[in-house]
Amino acid sequence: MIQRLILLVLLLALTACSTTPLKPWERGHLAERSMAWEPDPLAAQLDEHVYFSKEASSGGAGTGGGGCGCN
Amino acid sequence: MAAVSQRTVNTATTTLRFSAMGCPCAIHADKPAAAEAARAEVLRLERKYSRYRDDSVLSRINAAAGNAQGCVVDDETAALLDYAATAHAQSDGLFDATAGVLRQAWNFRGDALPPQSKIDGLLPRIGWQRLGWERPRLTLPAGMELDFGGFVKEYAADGAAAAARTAGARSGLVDLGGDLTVIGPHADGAPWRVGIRDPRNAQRPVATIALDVGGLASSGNYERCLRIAGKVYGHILDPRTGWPVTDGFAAVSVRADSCLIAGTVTTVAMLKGRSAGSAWLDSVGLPHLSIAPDGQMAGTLKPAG
Amino acid sequence: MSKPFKPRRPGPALTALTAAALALPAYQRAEAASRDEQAGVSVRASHYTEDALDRSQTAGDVTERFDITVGQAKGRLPVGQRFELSLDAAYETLSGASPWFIEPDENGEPVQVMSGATIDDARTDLLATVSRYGDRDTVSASVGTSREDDYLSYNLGLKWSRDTASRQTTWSLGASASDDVITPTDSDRFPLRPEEESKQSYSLVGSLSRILGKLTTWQTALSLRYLTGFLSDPYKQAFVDGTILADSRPDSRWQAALSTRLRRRVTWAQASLHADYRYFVDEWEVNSHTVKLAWHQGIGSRWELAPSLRYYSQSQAFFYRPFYLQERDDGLYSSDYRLSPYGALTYALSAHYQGEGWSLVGAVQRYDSEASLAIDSVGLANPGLVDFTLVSFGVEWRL
Repeated sequence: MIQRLILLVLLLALTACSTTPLKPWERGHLAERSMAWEPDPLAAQLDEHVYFSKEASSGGAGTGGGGCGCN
Repeated sequence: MAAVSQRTVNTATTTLRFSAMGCPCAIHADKPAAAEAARAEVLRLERKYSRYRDDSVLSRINAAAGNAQGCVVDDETAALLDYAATAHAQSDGLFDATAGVLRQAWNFRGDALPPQSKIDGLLPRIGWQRLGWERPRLTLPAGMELDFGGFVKEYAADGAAAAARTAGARSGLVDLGGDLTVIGPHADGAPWRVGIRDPRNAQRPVATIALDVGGLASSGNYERCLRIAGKVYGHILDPRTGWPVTDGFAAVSVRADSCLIAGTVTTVAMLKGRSAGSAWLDSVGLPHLSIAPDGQMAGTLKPAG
Repeated sequence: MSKPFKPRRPGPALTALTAAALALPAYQRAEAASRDEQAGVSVRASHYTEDALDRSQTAGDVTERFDITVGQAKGRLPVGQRFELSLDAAYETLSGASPWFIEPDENGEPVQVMSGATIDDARTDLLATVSRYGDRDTVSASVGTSREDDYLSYNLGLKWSRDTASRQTTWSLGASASDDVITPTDSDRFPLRPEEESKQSYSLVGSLSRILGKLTTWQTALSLRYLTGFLSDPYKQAFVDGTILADSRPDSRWQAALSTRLRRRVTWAQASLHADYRYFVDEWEVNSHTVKLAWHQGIGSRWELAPSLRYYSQSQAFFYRPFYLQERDDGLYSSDYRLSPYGALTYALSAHYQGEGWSLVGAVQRYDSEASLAIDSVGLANPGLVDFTLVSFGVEWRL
């Protein structure tokens, strides 16, 4: 069930492609700080490290580099 | 022309006032550094496209008139020439960046009409279709000259707003002699309120417009004109006849995503006169407000409260 | 007076003028995948305390767990027309006790045994990145190191992202590798601890970001990671049929994570909604779901308040048991709560203040994990599940 849901979400992401291109002056809202993928990069790095050291999962869009001794 | 009514704002807004491109300019922004960046962009474009500076790109182009090799222009100038060519085509030849030579015949500070012979002598030197424009090379026939005055101020308003945003401004407005581009709405999301001036009484706004994004350009026939034998000759000159437009609007304002496009649509409406101009404004499909010489208003630009 | 404005289709003249205008640099500059033209420095201090364990589920007197302080710094410097250098540093000190192994009590209920002595350790991370911003491409390369008393890691990363011509879509591809050496402390006193072990990891991340309108952006990413070498925890042990054996896990682990993120501007509220989801699956049969929702509420032009809620649920690794009543044929044992089935909720609130050229941020976060929060029902809950409260404070300067 959950696997099917994930597939659906992925397909949605790929088929949402037919949007008309935005003009530069229409991008004002997207440029807001709070619209960034990570408005606060240091907090995101710390969260990622803390969760990595306490949960079995890792990885995702914003991850890369780093590590720690905890297995 | 439009004027900005400075609302009491709840943010620390900087206002920079200066003179450029032959008109009073104001930049309102929530960051002083961003207002400075916007002013620098206006001054850069003024230097680059001034008719009055020998070292401007425009003077270099005009100096090459008659030279069969023409001259090679940079990317920004090339894009502006492409834009001028598009506006010329879309306006059936009314929007013409070569019409500036008519200034040699018309003196709106004087008190006499020019002789028809003088105008006839200038008409062969006008006509966008006569120049050779093959990106990046421009060849200008002898006697012709280019004038970017019809769009560079509007382009500068957009460029200044973009520069302010790049420098971190989120809220603000660029006002270059009544040509407006929004940097961003007020911090609380409220739009800027701008007044459109009554053509017959410069002190009184005839309508107030709420502007949250994009640009607003206005053109009026009231600023400079000749009054001779009870007839008014406005400064908007038809490039095909060399004479002022008769039966024209007193003023037109257009709102668009960019001040540049708003300005072009406004200029063409003024040049077309009242009946053809109304049809043009409707066909373009942008919010607009036109004012006839008798004060009659028409259009789709919705005044704010 | 004027008629009310009715939106209408743009005429051909407007379409032509718009197309010509779009070629002008003033309108393109806003579009370029631009670097931040100002240098910046940000620092952040965070502190968190793991809750003491439930005494009824702990053998011995020690119930206190780790107390952790983290300092972070980030510096960013644009160089020339196209390059940017950045440096990330983190220093973490931790002290306290950690779960050691789990034994059954007389009723067969799991009881946590803590490592007796207080452990003190410090971790130092450094990461240097150089990025090149092209018209449509951004390439960055990074090199980093992480070291603790008993651990040394080096890592390398490369990332390439490219905007499509319309700048509606950004593709990115990243690869990274790390090489770690673990030298457990006191291996002479604890015979189950190895003297020196190593592990390597390799990751590949591909992502697709799209602008879905004036107010919405969407990103989907797939990351793959392969770990090989010593993947056990040298400080943990397992109770196996009355004897205590070293934590022992497979020596390889494939992992895959599929994540998607949505950002939506809510103009009337002056707010932005963040919705993130991640599905994770690995070769040890762990799979997990992570959902995070955040609401970034602007207040005036300077303040922003962001409450967020995160839900996490994982299934267990195939060889995990709280304790083992008999030996396994494959010899794999781990009672680590991190491989156990459980779910967790994080409630967080952060506040951000934007000054002229500087900003402040403060945040609190509460993490609660419970076996009962897992999506699937759990037979025996691991008694070592962690809860903590984190507070942090940061300053950023743009120079």
